[in-house]
Amino acid sequence: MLRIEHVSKSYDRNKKAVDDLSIHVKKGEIYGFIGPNGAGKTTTIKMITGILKMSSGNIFIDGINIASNPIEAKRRMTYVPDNPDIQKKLKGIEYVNFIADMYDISKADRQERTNEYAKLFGMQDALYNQIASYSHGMQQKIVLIGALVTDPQLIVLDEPMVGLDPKSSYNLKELMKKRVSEGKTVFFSTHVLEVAEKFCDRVAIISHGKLIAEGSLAQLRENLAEGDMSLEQIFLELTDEDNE
Amino acid sequence: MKIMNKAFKIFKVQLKPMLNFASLKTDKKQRRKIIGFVLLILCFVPSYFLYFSIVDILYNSLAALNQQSALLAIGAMGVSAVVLLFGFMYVFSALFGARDLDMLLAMPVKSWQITLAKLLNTIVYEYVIVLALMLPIVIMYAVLSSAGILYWVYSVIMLVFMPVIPISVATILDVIVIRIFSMRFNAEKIQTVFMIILLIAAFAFSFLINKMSSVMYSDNQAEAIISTMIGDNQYLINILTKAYPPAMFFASALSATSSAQGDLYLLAFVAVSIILFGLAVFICDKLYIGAVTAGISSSKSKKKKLSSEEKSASFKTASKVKSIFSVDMKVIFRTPVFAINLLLVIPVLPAVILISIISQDISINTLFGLLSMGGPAVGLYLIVICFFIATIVTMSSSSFSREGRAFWITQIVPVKAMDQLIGRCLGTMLASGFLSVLVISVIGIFLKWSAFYIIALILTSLVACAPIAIVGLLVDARKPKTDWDDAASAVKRNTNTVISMLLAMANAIVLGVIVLLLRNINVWITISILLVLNLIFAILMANVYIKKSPSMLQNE
Repeated sequence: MLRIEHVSKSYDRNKKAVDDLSIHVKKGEIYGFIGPNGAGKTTTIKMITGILKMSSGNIFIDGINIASNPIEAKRRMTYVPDNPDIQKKLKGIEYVNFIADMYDISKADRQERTNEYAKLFGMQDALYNQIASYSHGMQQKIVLIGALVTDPQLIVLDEPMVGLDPKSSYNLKELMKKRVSEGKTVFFSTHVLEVAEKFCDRVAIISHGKLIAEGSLAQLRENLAEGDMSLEQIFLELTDEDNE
Repeated sequence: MKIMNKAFKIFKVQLKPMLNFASLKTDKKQRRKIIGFVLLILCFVPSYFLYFSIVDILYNSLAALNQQSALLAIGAMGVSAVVLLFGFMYVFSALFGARDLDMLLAMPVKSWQITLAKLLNTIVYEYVIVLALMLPIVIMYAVLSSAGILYWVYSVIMLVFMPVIPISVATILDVIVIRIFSMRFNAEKIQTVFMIILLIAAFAFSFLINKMSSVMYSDNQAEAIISTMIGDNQYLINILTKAYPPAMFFASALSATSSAQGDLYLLAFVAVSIILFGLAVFICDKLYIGAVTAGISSSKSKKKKLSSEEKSASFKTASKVKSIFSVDMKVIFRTPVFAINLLLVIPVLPAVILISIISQDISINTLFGLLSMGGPAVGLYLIVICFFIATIVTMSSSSFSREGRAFWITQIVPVKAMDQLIGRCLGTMLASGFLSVLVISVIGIFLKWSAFYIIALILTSLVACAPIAIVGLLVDARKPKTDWDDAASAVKRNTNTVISMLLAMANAIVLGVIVLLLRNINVWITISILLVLNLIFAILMANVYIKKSPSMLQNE
């Protein structure tokens, strides 16, 4: 569903934020993207979603190259950023309608999905208020509803649990599992290793812009020849090694 | 001293983004930005020379009446008025609109230290206005009156203190008004009121200036006044500065630098500035925290319970173009700064022209009599005027910038460039079109032009708006200014809108020259040429946008 091939990004000549990164995320998979601060997670996500230009390499969404056919590639995915910066002057419903219009979602579908997700995140009434009156968590929820209403094949989330209350965080995780069971794909970055450990089919660990490990938890343990290590221990060992 | 240190530390931190020269060595982007800014300033050099020559003429005219020092008073009053008017907004933004407030208020810092730092910062920003407007006056006065070294020393001291009084007054009024009304109004409403006051003040000023000049010409007592002026070189200063005595201190200090009287005026100017500034900081200390915490918020949304039918009706589908346009309009109408800068300014130019006509006591009949003498060719000049008026519509040239940090949404949605282009240019087209329809139809009906001719002129004018709107969109797509805290940054303090206005003006000049060259040929041929040229230009620009925008809208 998502294929990243030898992607690099440098903001200046001397330093690469992402260095020759290659990842393949299969359909129906929850894929965790983890790494220390400044490792290049958000930069990678921004290149996947077409926000940021790549310096080199290719990214394919469902086989479509984001650089050469951005409209078709974007039609198949949606993105939830780590910071819910949206037009505060719109009402929640106006924002959702706008996003649904951009993805050609019919009235019946958008109504059904919006009501379902608004109920899930406790936003039924807030949906009709101006976003400026929302708390940070509510803004995060309206961005999520806007993303989910498009029913994308691939959903890319950057630190999705940040700002969500425990119940919404739980509901989001359950929802992601449900989507994956329907054959959809989830790609998300997180700092909460516990979530990645319990929730992801596979994870990629990135440090200094480079992929340092990839696979299921069992595969990572096997590669390190340490039988019962937690993802946190694996992460710390790998990133410490990388720093040395 | 330790207490003062904290205030100066906050001041220094806030000033850093403005004076970050150290980054120029390493930061290529910053360097390019500065070069662009310098080039932009260079575009205004010719008009600055014009300002110098106006000051020269004014000095000589006043010198003939022995009133040359009134030039300094006029300058000081004008600049102080501008600083005061903008000061209301800047002080308001600095004290109540800044994002760092929560952080500063949580620190172990006294409120007078915060306000002192913020006011000093505002004053530093005001030096741009003070220097741009006052330097030509101070320099020309020195050159033409052969001023000595002391004049320059006094000038530097007084220019340093010049924005202090208006900023202090603006602060005191801002804080008191907010303390009183903040329970009932939110920050944006108060900001809107200030902006409307600013516009009314500008209108009143323009009306008064026009009225005064027409009265001066007709007044029979002019001779008597002139003879009084020649005898008393302080006559005009005393009259002009009645409403603002510090301008008198300023002018009198600089015009009498060699006497003890000059020293006294200098001291008076500095003393009044310091006292008022101290008072402003004192009042802030007493009222600021109360004002900030008394309910100032960036927005208060009315929460209304909807019935299930109403909720269901809220789900509406629209085409991409319509959806982009309607969201854009909603945001403009709901953000007062956008509404005032993008919509309210549109009728300003025709209104200023109308005010100057009314204040000159020219009857409408005389005006239309004069216009009708030009025949149908007047229509062509009229559309050239419309081209010029349309340059002030900056909706498309701030289209992406206005989205601010929500710009990522535009970057991720699967929308064709053509849909973006139409959805985003529609507003500019409608606003410019509204102006054209209004101006051309009103004058056309009065001059009894045929309906067909009026429609042809309106159509030509409308078609001419398209390429300008697209050029504006291209300029903004190239480098949208999305990292802002204060909405005014997206529209007023945005170089994209200035660049687009200059380009639109250049286009209007070219079209004006074409009209002038073809004025003796049949008007229909001229209209056809203008239509075809603008259509070709619009198609070319649309193609450039479609080709370039997908890459332009990505971050580098």
